[in-house]
Amino acid sequence: MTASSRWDADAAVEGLYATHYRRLVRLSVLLVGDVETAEEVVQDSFVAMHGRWRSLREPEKGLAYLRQTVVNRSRSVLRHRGVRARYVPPVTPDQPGAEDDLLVAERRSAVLEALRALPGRQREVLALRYYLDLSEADIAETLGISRGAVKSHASRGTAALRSLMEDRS
Amino acid sequence: MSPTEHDPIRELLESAVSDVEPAYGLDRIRARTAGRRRRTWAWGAGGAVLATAATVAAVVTLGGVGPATDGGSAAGPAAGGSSEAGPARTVYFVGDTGVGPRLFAEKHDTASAASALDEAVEAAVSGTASDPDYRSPWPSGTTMQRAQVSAGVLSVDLSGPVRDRPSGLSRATAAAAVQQLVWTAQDAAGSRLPVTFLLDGRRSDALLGESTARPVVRASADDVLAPVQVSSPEDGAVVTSPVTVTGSASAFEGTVQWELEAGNTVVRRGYATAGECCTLSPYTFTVRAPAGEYTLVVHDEDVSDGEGNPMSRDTKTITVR
Repeated sequence: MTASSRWDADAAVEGLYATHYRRLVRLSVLLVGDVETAEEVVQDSFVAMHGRWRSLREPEKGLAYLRQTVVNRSRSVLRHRGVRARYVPPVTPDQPGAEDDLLVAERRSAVLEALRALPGRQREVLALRYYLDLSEADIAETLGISRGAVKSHASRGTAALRSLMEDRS
Repeated sequence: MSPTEHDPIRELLESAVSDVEPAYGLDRIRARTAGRRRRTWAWGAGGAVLATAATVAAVVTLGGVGPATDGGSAAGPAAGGSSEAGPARTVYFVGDTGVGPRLFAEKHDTASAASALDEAVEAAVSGTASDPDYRSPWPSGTTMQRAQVSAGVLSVDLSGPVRDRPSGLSRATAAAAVQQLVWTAQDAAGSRLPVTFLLDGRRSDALLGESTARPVVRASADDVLAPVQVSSPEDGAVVTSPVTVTGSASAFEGTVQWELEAGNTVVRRGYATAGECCTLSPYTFTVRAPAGEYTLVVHDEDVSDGEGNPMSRDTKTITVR
């Protein structure tokens, strides 16, 4: 038994927070489009994992649960927002003026906007595949869908995102 | 698929969030998890143990919250409704209950109507349940090759080390696993045809040590489904108050009890009737709660007053916004 497998729920939260919090928030930003919501979603997910730790017990399972919960809750938030599609304001850099910053900010909001235009599953598959670098099997597990479905969402999503980005340029 | 290092999509996504620096959040998480301990089932004097449930059709609310209505149509997030390509299908998973391993149903999206049967059975064999209390009992390395209805035969073709029962798997779990696929395949196919099991394309006389020499028929719901299940909300759902909870149960005197817990504190509790005694019937109740993170526990009545007689329950972590 390794030391980490004896983590209690509090230690699991701290350990996984230190190693994965930022990345999970960024993942959620890709899914929901704004940082504030993403932070809420990820914090909720850590609280949920804490409550579940008895049945998870291992860091890898905790992380898998976090990933899954972040994706599910991000989806749930979007659903909850319903039809009143929320406009994602272009993120203005902290210190405006530098043209590079503006370009970065513009590009960033363009990508988030394009992602938002995709069907939910495609967005999720792209984020898990290209941002978290998950394998096809892990994505299937995270989303509770088949590997075949992962493949088809990935190829459709890739094509759709490409054409959306091309339309802009 | 084999993503390459310099994939433009990867760079696109990376660039979209590379400057996102979340604020320090650990304190907020800690504040919400502080003091949480293992939930206890001993409620003491206030515990709502229900001897006379016959009159109850709706909900008991606690803490001065107004009377809730027994409404199947009350608010709550609309399930589905998103722009998915395929229909949702019911996928059964196995979970532990007071009466042994039983099946729990979950709705899973599919990519297309044409592959929905394949996808549902594949999810049952090697997928992951949304609720971490449920699992697929099939040994790792099991794959689903094909599920189809052809010439009046509903067949499921598997591959992997699944003919004999692995030593770590109980007979009850093996039987549940076979029924898990029968129920999933039949529901996805919209048919009650018995399921013909194949192993690598050929008839298999056994799966996990259970006889499959003849097509396997669906066992009765009361024999294989969990005695208490929550269908909605699903685990991890973000919902609005009032929350309508639905599920099915076969419980003593047709009554299920529920608690809404925040940390280790029961903030709401009540009970709901689930039709007649001892056969699975639908129940529904409504919970009002302020915004927050909760664990919803629905279980059958503890008629033994805490002695033996393990309870069956279903637990969902939900967020009320």
